[in-house]
Amino acid sequence: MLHSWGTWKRDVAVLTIVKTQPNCESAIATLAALRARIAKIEGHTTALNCDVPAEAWTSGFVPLDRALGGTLGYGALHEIIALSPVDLPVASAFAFGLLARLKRRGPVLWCMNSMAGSEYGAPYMPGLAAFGIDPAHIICATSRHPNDLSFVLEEAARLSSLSAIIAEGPLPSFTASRRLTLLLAQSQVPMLFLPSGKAVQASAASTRLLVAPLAAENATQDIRSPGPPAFQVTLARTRGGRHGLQFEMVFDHATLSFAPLSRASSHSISDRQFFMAAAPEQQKRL
Amino acid sequence: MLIAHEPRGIRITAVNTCAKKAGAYVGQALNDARAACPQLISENADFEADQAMLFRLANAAMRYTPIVATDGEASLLLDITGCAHLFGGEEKLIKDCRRRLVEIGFSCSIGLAPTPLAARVLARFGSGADILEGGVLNALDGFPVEALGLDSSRNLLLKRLGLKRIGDVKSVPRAAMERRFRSKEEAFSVRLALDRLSGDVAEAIKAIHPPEPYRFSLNLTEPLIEHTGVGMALDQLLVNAYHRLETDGIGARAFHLTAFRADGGTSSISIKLSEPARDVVRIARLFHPHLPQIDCGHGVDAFVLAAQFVEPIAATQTMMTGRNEATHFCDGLAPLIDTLTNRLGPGHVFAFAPCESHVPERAQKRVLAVSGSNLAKDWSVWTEAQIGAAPRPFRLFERAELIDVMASVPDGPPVQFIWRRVTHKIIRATGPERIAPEWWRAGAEGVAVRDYYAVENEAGRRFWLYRAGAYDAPEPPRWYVHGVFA
Repeated sequence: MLHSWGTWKRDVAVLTIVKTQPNCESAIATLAALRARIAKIEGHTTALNCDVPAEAWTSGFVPLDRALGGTLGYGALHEIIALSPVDLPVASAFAFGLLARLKRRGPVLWCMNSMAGSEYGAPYMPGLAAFGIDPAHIICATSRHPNDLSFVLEEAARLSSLSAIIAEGPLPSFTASRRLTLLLAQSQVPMLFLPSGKAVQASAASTRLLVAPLAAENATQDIRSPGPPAFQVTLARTRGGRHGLQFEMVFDHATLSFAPLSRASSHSISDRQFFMAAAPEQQKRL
Repeated sequence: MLIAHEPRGIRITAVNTCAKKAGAYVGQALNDARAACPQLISENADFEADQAMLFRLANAAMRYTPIVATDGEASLLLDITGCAHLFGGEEKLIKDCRRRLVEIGFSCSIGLAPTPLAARVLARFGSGADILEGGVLNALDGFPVEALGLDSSRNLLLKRLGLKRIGDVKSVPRAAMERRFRSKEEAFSVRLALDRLSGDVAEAIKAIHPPEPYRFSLNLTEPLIEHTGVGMALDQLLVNAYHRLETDGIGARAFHLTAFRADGGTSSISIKLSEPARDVVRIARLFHPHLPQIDCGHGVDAFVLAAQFVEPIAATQTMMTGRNEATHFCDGLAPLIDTLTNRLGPGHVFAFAPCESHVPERAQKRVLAVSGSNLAKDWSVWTEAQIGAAPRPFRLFERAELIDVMASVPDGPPVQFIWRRVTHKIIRATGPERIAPEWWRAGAEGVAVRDYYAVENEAGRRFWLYRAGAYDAPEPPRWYVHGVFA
């Protein structure tokens, strides 16, 4: 409820300004100032057009960071939703890509259902190490019941010695997610929630990203081998930023950063099949 | 009156007061007793239930002392050394014990003496509430020799010798008496009984629970019937425990709380910790969700907290900021890990350690997430060894899943595969990476060589597939999906 109240207040502020300040430029300035004030009231420090501090948590992909209003908040709940429920591993790959960008190193708690190991695959450190995450920092907690998951998350959210929490499972109720956000704001630990259900429901999350897999960019050496992981990301909700935008990006394991998807692979599948059949020089020309 | 079916007919195994008045006695045939008194009511004896009941009573008697043993079919042996003063002296302890047993419907006979055998003699042949002070063992001289607990043949022989009382047996020179027995063992048993009676030979008491060195008890004047009170009692006990453990510079890895009910029942809960601890708040928090499991019944009037698996803990320097300096990444996490482990159950909270194996599913193992482990070092060693290695999936299925595959060339990657009833068309693939079974392991025989392929389907999902077996083998190869790439 609190969040929707904030949005409503923001809308009213916009209306007032347009009426009283016909001067467009000063209106934008006032708007920015007001937004910054609202952001302060809502409890997050970054807002549009603010300077991004050096230790901020960014995706490294400029359009997304700009849409997020600068950074991902530390002590906040971020939902990363797989567009199709079977793509939860893809969403978790994206989440780990974001974690790779986290400046703060420390233990990461990964909470999942006890069946996730056979359903989506169990955490496998030799592969996870490619995200630049120290495998020794991963602590895994598996629960059988959603109630256990909420318990685990609330306990973990209190603790500031964690560097991040990743949770997979049914989304908690709005009240529970509100409690989580309050706890997280206090401990300043980011939580990435990957809902396992399909239905999007009301929650107090400050960011909601919809993630779908994308056929990857061609690897430079070999056109036939899989390239870096690519994602289609829709920013469905953000505080202090612009939501509704869609991005296509790849995660580069070498630089541990998100980068724009190259033109060649954003073609449709039939194009790509054509590429595969095409001679190398033809490809170069394209 | 209880009866049991024995080879020589139905015998009486226990009688109550009424039946005793009617002339029935233990060991009598049921028919004989019925002939004398036809109104006798009999029930089948359930020895297992008797034993279980005795065990429950033994647990309830833990309120008096940590060392409680069951003794025979219907007695308990309590070592109350150093415990009596907690209950206001020996008389009061006996009185309290009797009151509790009578309240829940038992009749009892109690003996208190410096040695177990002497106490047994007093309880079975004494007035039922005798206390024998140390050094006055001669007071037992008047008791019959049966009280020594020897078997019937020895009792018979002693009686034939005219030795009817314990004092008589003691007065006879041992060498003279021992010659009367058929074997040395028989003579020895009598001598041993006398030595045990006097305490010259110690008799071991086999306690039902091994005594805990760190045990804290709390006796309440009024029974508790609410769980809030239980929490307060627990806090009090934890504070006591804290002071004692801190003095000794140790912490415990497990705590066990037992509640003693007024009706003779007990219920207990325990928690485990990932590192030795004595912190009151932290341990109380772990106990808290389990407190409702304590059955208050008609009231709990005593608690015992035992600290188990004690280990020394180094004194920690609290910094000026009030936070402890973290020396290990897990340091600040131990309370969380404990909380989660106690809620989710053992094996549900874990970290990973590298394992020297090239078989993918063996390359890591789950380990307890505890502080003091050298995971960080192990993984950094592992990372150095991995430079230039083939990529690995970040999620590995616990069990590789069988898939239907269409391959264009026998030794090449598949063109498409059906997994979980969905067809995936492969547009890109690398491989094969051949991983052979570890022949030096037991059970490796007959395990097929695996050829791994990293593939990407048209939607951009990336899998790690493998083919077990070769096409030229007598059995066709099988394909599996083993993991998911980022």
